[in-house]
Amino acid sequence: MQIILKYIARLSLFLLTVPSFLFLAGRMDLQMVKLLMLIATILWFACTLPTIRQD
Amino acid sequence: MAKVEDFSNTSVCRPQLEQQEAAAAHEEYERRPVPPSALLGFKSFLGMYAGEHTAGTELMIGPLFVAAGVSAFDFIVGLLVGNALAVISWMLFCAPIATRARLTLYYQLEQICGRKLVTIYNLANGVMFTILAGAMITVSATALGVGFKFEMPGLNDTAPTSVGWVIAVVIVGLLFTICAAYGFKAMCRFANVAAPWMVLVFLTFGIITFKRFMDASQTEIRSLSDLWTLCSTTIWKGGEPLAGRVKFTFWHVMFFAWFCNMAWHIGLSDLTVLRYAKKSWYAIASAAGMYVGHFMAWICASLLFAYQLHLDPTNTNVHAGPMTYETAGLAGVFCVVIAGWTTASPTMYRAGLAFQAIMPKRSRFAVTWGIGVCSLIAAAVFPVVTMRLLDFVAIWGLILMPMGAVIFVDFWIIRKFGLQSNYALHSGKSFNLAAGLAWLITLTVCTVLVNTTKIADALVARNILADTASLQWIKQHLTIEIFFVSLPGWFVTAILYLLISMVYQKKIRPQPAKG
Repeated sequence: MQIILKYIARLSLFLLTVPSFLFLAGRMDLQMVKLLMLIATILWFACTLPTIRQD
Repeated sequence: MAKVEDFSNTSVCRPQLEQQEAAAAHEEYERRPVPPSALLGFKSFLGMYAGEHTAGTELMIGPLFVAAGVSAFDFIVGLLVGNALAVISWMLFCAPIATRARLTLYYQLEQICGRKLVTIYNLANGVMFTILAGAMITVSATALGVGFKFEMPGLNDTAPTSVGWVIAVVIVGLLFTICAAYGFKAMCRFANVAAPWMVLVFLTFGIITFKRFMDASQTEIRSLSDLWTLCSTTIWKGGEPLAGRVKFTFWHVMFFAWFCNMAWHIGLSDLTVLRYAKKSWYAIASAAGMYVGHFMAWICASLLFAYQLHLDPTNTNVHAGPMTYETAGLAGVFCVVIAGWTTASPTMYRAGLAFQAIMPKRSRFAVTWGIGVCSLIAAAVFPVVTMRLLDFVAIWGLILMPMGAVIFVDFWIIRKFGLQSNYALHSGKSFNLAAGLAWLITLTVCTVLVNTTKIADALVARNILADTASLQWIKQHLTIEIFFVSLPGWFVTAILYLLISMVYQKKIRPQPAKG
């Protein structure tokens, strides 16, 4: 389970940054970037916060 | 008495160092050198420095460069050079002493200056940390302005502008204080979890805003030349600063980037951290913090404000919440809150420890609450501190820097003049007058140099001095801006400490041991 969370967390960082590059390239609109960044943020904390509790 | 290492960091806590210490049966080497078995590898310092220099205040500092009318060349090159000088300062000033003595700043200062002078140092440090926490509360409180639309203080406001703002600051300040007082360790772990996310959100601020600049100015980037033209003619245009601001040149940017963490490198606060380094060159890890936090993050934050000014030159408000919401939506607003929260609470905690060192009978819990309340009052009543954050950071460095000069001279130079190093330890004095006077005189001289024009004008207004050509010359040539004064100040302290020690130690030279 921990390994899965770790991979999802890494993917969420990917999801956080890639949309902004797509926006820079003119391939995504800003509203979609904002939405994906929010989803990525929720995913990141959902996957990493349990590690704090374990610590 | 609390240790300096507990509050020597303004951003996030240092888990690996703490774990190392905990692993050594709670031995924290407060009053003895760190043994070889407790030393840490290069990666520990790389991670620590990379995470700790991306804080909520970066969202304030970046825009203030734009408000100061900085040009693209001055900004980019000034930051590159200034941050390099900061890294070199960590490597040449702090690390060599840290890896030789392997003592905390506090213990080393106590041996040189005596316990009473260290207490005054703690007091100064505590006050500065409290004000800094207030600035972080101010930045985070702007996030509430996105939803509640209350009037927030402008760039040149010195007092709160609405009841809504005061309520927002009180709510945010109380939440941060509760975290600092009750759940400090959990909050530290949260800060470390949030750090990679936060750094990347800062990066996206820059990328998105850059594209918005391209669209707004209908510019296409086909080469590096196009990129530079956009940066120098549309983003960081230079020219006159905003009203009430000092014009920033290359030298201002360079010196600010160099001295922003002056208390840590030249002021030697990071002795406490780098004493765990196996090699002194590990201090090069500070480059990770400088070029992520004080280069990338400042540039990205400055883009937010530059774009706001590009759209509406009359909108000079530096409100991190609304600016990041416009750019990155709710993720941007979360970043403002979390960047402020994860840095303000440790800052309050460390301020609490500094004051607890002065009032050891008070519990840490009570002192932290006191600090939290003072911070939120500072944030609510004096937004000017945040709006003048560049000046505040420069003043902080100036106040704490002289003690770094004292340690430097005491460690490397003083014995070459036949004088006693670690004088307080050997003489049993609780207040080394040479160090105290060097500190006080340096601060007085620097304050006079910064305010020469004001002092001269005041004396002329009271008919104490005549407004002659020579006075004009003095005003013109002997007024030094706060951003530059720390450099001559370091030499003033070093020379004064040496000279006063020659007189002071002659009078009260410690008796050599008999037999």
